[in-house]
Amino acid sequence: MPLPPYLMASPEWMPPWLTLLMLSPLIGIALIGLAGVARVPDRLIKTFASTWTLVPLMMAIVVWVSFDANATSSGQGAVQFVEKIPWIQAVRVDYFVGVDGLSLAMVLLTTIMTPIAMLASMDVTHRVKLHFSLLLLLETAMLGYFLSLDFFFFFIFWEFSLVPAFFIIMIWGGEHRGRAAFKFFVYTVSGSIGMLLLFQFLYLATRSAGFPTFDLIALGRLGQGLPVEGISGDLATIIFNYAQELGITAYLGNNPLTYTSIAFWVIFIAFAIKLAVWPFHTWLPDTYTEAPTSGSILLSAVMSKMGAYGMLRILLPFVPDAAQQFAQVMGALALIGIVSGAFGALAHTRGSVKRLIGYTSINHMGYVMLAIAAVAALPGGASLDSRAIAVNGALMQMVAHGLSTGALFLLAGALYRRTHCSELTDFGGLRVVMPAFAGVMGMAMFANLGLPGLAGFVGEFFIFRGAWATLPFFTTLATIGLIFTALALLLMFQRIFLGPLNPRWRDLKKQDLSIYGLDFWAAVPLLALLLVFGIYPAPIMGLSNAAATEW
Amino acid sequence: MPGGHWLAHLWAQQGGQFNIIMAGIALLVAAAGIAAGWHYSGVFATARDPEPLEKAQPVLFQVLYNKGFIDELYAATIGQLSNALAVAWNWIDQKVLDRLVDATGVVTFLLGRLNFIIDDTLFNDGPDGLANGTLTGGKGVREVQTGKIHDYITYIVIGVVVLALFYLYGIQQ
Repeated sequence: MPLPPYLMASPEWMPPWLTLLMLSPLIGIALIGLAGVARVPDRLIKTFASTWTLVPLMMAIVVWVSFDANATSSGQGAVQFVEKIPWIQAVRVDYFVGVDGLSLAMVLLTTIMTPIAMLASMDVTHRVKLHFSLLLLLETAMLGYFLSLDFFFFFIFWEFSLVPAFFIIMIWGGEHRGRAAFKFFVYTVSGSIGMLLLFQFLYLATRSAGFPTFDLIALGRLGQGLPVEGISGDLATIIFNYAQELGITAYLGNNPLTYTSIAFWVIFIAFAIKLAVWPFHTWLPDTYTEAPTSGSILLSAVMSKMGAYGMLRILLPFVPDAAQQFAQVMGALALIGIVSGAFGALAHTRGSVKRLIGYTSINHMGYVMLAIAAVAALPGGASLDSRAIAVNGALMQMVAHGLSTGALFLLAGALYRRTHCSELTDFGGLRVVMPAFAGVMGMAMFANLGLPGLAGFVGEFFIFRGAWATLPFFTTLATIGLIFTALALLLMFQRIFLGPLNPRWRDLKKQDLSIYGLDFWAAVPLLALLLVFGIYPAPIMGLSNAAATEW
Repeated sequence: MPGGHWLAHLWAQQGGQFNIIMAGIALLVAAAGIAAGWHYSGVFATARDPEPLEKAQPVLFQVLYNKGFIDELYAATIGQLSNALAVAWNWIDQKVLDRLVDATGVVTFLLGRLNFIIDDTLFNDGPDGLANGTLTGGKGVREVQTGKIHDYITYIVIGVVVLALFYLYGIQQ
């Protein structure tokens, strides 16, 4: 079908690249199945599956290299590599995939973190084929979520990603895995029911305006008052007119903002649960703690970003007026999350390692939420700069946090494998016997707490700079979080590696990280990227800049 | 900033003037410290000897020895406060928010239970009862059909009596 100027198809000679990228993990699953039939030993299957994840990674890198970060058209960053095929004609569902600066960063993060999660699963001995197949299935679901631009597929992938994650936690998780997996699953599903209903409503509203659609880009443009072929007016008016047609205005009044506000809260809650915004965050520490290492890595590094991505993709463009109205509320929730995450982490400096890292994630996702609140407070206009800075900061923080938290969970898992112990009070002085481990984990920790020179700093710096313009009060108080997360992480490091050596661990010397071990090579790419992006963030920042400034 | 006047040309600002009195005082204080150290170091024969200041000025010695109790002050104020806040936030998380989430779950389960009870009694037991009644009725009716002419004549008589009574008392009045 002919595409509007803001959608760029991939070059003629190219196969449907994004579809292939999305499906490539599934081919891996099929091959694992064949290997299972042929009774290939598990050790080879692990190697094969981990190697196979390089295929999506390479394909994503091809997209990254051929992506034109400066392409803008009709008031937005151009969506590229678009594939758009009618799928269900009766309700105007299209198979519609594409990438822009926002989604490409997330696609790269997904394809980088999946191989790491595989390397962290090398010690799995129970139902190996299933474990690696579920990881690949989860990769497909996450990629599908970030690439889909039609609500139908977007929502399918959003919900479907929970299924492999549920089983990964349920089968290979810790002692209380059942409860954690159940809560994680039910909480997310119940949160997104409102969003599903809302999109039914939006479909009917646009149909009544003569342009029935589930197209996220078109709806986003309508929300921002940008022109869309085939329909005039903005989304707020379309929603209001339909509400009037249904007679709802007799009960809820004649203010269009009422209706966009309802839409805002419905979307916000769905994504806030995923992003673990306070007070919807209580599933997170349990889930990260109980999940196996691979699960913790993918959940913290990629799946929590699905919430932030949804807010940037749907919440802000669809209902900018309501988002502006409630920007202070979002800022306040972000601040409480930042502070409660930091103090929550501090409260666990004598508890479980993974729980502590989980709480710092709540804190770091609070910064992303703060950036989104700051963006919401400034819909276009004179202060466009701060807005772009905040969006870039949010994206950078999402990538940086994915890499650094992934590394921390990877190393926490490696530590557990060596000691069978996860309580911080049981360690002490491990630096003496495992100096390389201490060094690598130290760097991951410093990247996580935002040490200048590493990527986390760039993200936080941009967020604080961007949020300062609109939410100075919340931004000032949010610095409390910086100090106390740093304190909690440093205490974690101290309790594990410093002080007198606990005699229990005298024999760990042979198990230090070494260049002959997989753990080391799983951590190295993450740390290298953190360092590179910390010094030269342009490869990530440049991606979203066009999307961020135009939008 | 100390030594800032050396960088005045870099900062493009007027540097402070060199003040001989200020510099002299600073130099004297430093020299006095060195001299005192030199003097007192002579009183130690070994490193284990007691500190002479400890005897002469026990309070001053303790203050200096403990670095002015700055660390203890921090531990007692900011340190304690952070710990208390950490405990408080954690308590809110686990005892309030998580309980609320769990309570929502419990309420949902109760609703499910209630729904089950309604389903079970009204929609399940109801039709079951109806079906059972029909079966029992059917059984009774089947047993009535004995095939004996005497029985059928008896039923006809009963029927005629019932109809007659119905006619007399039901319709006539």
